[in-house]
Amino acid sequence: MKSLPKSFFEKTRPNVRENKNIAQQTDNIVIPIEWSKEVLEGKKKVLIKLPKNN
Amino acid sequence: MCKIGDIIVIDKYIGDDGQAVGRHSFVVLSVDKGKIGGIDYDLVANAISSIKNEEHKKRISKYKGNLIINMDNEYVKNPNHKEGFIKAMCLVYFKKEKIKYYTLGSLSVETWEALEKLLEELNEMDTIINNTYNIEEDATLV
Repeated sequence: MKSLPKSFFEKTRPNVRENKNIAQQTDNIVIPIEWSKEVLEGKKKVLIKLPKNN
Repeated sequence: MCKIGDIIVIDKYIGDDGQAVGRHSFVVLSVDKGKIGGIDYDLVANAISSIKNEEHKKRISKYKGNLIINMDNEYVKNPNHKEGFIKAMCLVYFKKEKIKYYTLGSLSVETWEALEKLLEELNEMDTIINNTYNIEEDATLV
């Protein structure tokens, strides 16, 4: 997989500390994914895809 | 060890609201060492969230900064929660030595390409924000 350039990650941007309202506007609440027992035990390797209609 | 495009679970991290969150899933964006705001990091990731229901999905879909994803039934505890989203608009910075994490799998190549394209677009629009809570001196994560 092609990586994004280092400059992408070192760009000065607003921080969530000062921009909680921005984060909240984007439905900030992230809900943990409840993985199956097989995944958590390492018996199945997750492969995340795009929705079929994407 | 983890690499770009991997799905990892981090035992404890500080979320965008400054509160500690347990066992959350992320997609790895970078494992290169660097500095942001003068602070070292060696892992950058986006949080992955579950989608609760259709109403939640509608709200999530309104925002350009979220990428909707799909997990097969066999991967999740509840098949009704097989859809999720990657919160691309927020980059979360970590130091691997300060966290406990394990790898569960990866994004498909197609999903990685869609995420990369979205990140580039968000970058051009200056709509990305950084979460550096987890690399700050006083962050207690282990």
